[in-house]
Amino acid sequence: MAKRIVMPKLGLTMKEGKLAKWYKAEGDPIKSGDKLFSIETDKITNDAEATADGVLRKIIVTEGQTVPVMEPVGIIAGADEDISALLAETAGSEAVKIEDKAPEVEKAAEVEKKVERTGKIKVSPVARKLAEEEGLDLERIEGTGPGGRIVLDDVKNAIENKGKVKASPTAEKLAREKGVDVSGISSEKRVMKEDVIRADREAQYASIAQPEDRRIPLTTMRRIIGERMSESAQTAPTVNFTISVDMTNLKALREELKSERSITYTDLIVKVTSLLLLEHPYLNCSLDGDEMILRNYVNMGVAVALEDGLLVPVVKNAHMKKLGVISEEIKDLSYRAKTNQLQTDEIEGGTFTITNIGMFGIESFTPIINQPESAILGVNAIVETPVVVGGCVCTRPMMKLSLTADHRTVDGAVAAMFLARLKEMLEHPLKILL
Amino acid sequence: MKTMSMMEAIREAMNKRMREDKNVLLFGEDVGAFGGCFGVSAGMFDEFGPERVRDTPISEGVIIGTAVGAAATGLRPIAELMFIDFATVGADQLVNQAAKMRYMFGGKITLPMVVRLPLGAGISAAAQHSQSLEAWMAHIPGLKVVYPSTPADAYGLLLQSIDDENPVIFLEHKVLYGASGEVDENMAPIRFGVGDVKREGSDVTIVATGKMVHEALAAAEKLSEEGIEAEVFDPRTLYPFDKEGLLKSLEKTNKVVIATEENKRGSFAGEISAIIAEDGFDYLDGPVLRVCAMNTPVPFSPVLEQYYIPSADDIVKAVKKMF
Repeated sequence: MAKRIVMPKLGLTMKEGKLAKWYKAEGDPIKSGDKLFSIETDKITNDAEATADGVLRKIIVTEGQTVPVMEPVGIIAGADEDISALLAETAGSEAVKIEDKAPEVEKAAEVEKKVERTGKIKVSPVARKLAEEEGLDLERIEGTGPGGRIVLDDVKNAIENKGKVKASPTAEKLAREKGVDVSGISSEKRVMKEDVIRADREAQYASIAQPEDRRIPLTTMRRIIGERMSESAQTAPTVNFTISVDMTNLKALREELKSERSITYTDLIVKVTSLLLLEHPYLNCSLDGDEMILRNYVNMGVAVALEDGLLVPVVKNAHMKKLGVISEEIKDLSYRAKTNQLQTDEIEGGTFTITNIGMFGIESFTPIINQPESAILGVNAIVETPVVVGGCVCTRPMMKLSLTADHRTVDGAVAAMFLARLKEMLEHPLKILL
Repeated sequence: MKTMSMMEAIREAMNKRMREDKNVLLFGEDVGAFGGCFGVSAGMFDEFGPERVRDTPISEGVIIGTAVGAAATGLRPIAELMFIDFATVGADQLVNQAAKMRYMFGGKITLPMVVRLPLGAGISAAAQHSQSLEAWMAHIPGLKVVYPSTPADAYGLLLQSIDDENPVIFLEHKVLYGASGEVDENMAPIRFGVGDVKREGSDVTIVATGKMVHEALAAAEKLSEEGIEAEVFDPRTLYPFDKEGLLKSLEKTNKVVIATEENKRGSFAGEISAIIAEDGFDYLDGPVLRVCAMNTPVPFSPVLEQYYIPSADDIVKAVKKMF
């Protein structure tokens, strides 16, 4: 039975989707569950699967086109089944129409351009004839006749000056020796010795190097990241704070828990920070027009780096979850983020974000806030550092925390107090029990 | 070689042919004992007698009609009108008879006749005695139109006109009657349709007819002082017209000004302009400009008349527009 394939609705907020790639071609046999095509929404990329058996008879929406959800993108039917009724229904769809119109529009634009060009240049008949014979572009000849008309003398001058470049005697000699074409040196003034040397050097490297600029279209994710980061950087007046944390005790705690289960520093910091944010509501709030949204819960965003991009899945209600649960969720979310399996709901609703790039040895940075949140906490590398403890110099595993806060909602002292408390809790994790 | 005025050159050409051929005769108003209204035929009555130099009534129709009849029956008449303006009165004989007869008789007769027509302004002869109506003449198929600017051209062209087997309109500018120049009395007749470069130049061609040839030469001298070398091309005959000669000059200079004394509207200058546009377009490095008289009757007042007649300065101005 013939069946239309539609652009699926992948989340409550999804309105349209970009058909990024067809995995099947027209005429390919299809089994229910086969991957048919990939979809890019403004948040994530997903694959659509077939829900019927048959043959992909018709591709209606081609790669790269964006269509509203539930719009037909193709037809699956039996190999010999009549699909004309389904085709007729979709024939009037915009995707088809746009394709028909495009060449006409292009032609009209071309004609307009040509008319404009002939209307612009005033040139005498004999001058035009000579210029055509010599293959000179009239656009490049300045008219000195009455009313700026290009006259015979102008064309004659242009012919005379064609390929003629003034050069100093030394430059000419050098150019001959080095085999440099002086006329290739674009210089309005006289070509000097230095010009020839430079041209020669450039030519030598140019012959070896093969520079190539490759242009690739922005993926939806790249575009969204760009838009949201720019918007955040442009709207939020940010303040950056850095604090050093002695990780000795947290390290010990992690080692101790290891026999039970493997816990990451991120898990620990998410747990501690989530608890603390309830005490510091401004760092967990959002600005909405003339109001601030304050919360009695913490949805903790955890930045996950992908091969090409970045996602921030959210641990919902992190303030009340046990460390083990948090750890499991972060593991699951980041795995599914990396394998492109997240649902849109799982990357929405964050109230604060933690981003850890300590594994690369970074000791301090200034992250950009994930709007509409008020702050973001950057976690850095743990480095064995000489410190003074009780009048003695000894080494301790030290880690810096980099906090970026939106000054519209978070004042400096508020952020500083939060960071001081966080340091205290991380250095003495047992205080969580209090 | 002999220095002659234009008037003498015309007279000597007529004398030469009348001495050679008794079939050549002259008639017109007061051409006899009086010697012609401008004195062109002075002395001819005495030499050739009343049979061959005849006075006519004041009727242009009669004068031209007589020439048509005489030519059709074997003579070689030269008819003189006092003013081209009154060719309008003889227009039927000229346009409907002289111009058509050979064609309508299937080429079975010849019509060797010359109609001499003084024309042009400059002597305060007012609106009815000063016009330049050459375009009317050149418009009619069957008429050849000759317009000399120098005594030598007048001499050679008039010999050719008398020798021609078809009606020839011979235009004489009144102001040029006194202009003098060297004339070789033994010269061969000048062929029709061969223009003459009166001055060589490389920067612009001035096409001029009749008296305007002299204005063009004066203009060329002034332009030369400013570094512009004008070539002055005198077609000498309006029909047949020396298109090749003109285009050859234009190919060299790429710019052209046409100077005639006609009023501009419907002028032969317009015809020349059209010839250039059709066949010389690719030579042009600027617009074709005409220097002609205003579209008004010729004024009687000497001040206004001089203002009306195109001058060397007008030509200079036109040429400078192109540089």
